[in-house]
Amino acid sequence: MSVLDQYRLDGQVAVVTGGGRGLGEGIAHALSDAGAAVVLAARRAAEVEKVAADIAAKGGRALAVPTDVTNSQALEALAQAAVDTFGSLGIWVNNAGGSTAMGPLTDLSPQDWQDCVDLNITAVWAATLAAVKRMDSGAIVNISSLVARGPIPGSGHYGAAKAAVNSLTETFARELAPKIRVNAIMPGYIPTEVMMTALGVDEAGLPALARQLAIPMGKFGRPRDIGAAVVYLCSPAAQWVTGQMLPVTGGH
Amino acid sequence: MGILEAYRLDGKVAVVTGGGRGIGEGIAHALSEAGAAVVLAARRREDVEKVAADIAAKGGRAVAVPTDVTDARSLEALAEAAVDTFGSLGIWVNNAGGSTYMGPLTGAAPDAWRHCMDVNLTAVWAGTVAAVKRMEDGGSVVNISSRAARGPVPGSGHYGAAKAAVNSLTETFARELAPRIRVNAIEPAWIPTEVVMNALGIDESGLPDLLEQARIPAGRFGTPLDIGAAVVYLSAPAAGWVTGQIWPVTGGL
Repeated sequence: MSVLDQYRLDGQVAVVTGGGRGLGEGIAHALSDAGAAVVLAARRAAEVEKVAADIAAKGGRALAVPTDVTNSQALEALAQAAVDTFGSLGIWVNNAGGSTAMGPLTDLSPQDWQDCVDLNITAVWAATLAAVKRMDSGAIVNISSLVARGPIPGSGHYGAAKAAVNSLTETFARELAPKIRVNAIMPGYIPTEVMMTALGVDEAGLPALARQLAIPMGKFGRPRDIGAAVVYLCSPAAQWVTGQMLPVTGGH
Repeated sequence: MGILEAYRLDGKVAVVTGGGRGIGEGIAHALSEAGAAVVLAARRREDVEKVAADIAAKGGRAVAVPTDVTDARSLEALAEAAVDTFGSLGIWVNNAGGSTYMGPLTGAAPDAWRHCMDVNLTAVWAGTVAAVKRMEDGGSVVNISSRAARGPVPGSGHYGAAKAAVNSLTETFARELAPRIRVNAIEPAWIPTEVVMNALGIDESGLPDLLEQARIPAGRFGTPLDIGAAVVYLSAPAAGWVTGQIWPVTGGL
């Protein structure tokens, strides 16, 4: 067998939360290109249905399951839908996340804080529980953030939540080994719609932002860069990799 | 382009130091299977010639260049041989390393210390210098570090220190060579190659006990192919936005 076959995911069934746009959309396409059937979960039905249709149009297998990841019953239903539709579950990508609030930690309202914890930490814990009870073996990938590694004023709540996700990744990896592998990816600056809104920039502002951020590789990342990392981590190529955080950051 | 194309290395030329056996041999086979032409460097001519012949027998392109990585001129000649033979240079894997001494830091003779630094650290610096002056844009350097760089391993403190320095070199080279060339490292743990087994003074029969002792979450030792698959990912377009990172391939440790 060639090493190139090690990156294939033929016959695998993958769930991607936050799969309606941005990074999740890129991850879903990458998993499908690698051979997996993909279940797309996000709150907005129109978005996940569009991504599922795009994947089907390319010849892939995909299912849209509108899901609120802050509701654990919805996560159970999502995991069950994957098994019911495609017969098994082997890959789970906790990608949903983000924050509507931005500002100094001292200015956050209790509700801002709670929303951030619910969406970025508790959803990862609850979804992993829902996933692993239906997985005989497989891989979980948590989409963390470079923010977990160092302070970014204005995003302290999000950074704290992502640091907790890294810690969860390490503990789940130990507790679920050797049956299930658990890793995280820490993306750097990838100008998705959500990120541009958070930073208050539009397309026209991106070149100036790129200079300001001084990304060593000289360019922003793309959802595809994260997708390729997810495929590697979920595939047999990484079968001896668990409990690790992979920064995909353009050198940051 | 489908995502699986992003892991291919067709048309690339790769150099692997320490490519005569063990992890380097696995890396070389993986790079070849992904489409690269491979230049194998190690001190023992018969080792690299055998790996080159094995790769050629599978339909790959490989050349053996006996090399002493502690000799900067030998590294220059190696990099030049890659370009002369295959026309370019795109991937360089600093894999040669190891230690002949094992024991407490206080017991290391000055010669053993210096040899450890020469093989594990200076060779990575000099190898990278020789490589990047000939490397095409979009190139990739991968340093094979060790989990020993992250925490104390009594008896291997000199080796751990050298590998910690390799991690630091990885980070600085990545910044200094971006965006033209990416530089990453892999930290393997517990891959029972011949060199490791000799260092630990065990043979095949001792592996089950060692596995129990090592408490690897994944429940098995690693293989050279586990490292090879990581090298292919880090060298391929799939990791085109990954540089300056230290990647543990450890079975969960």
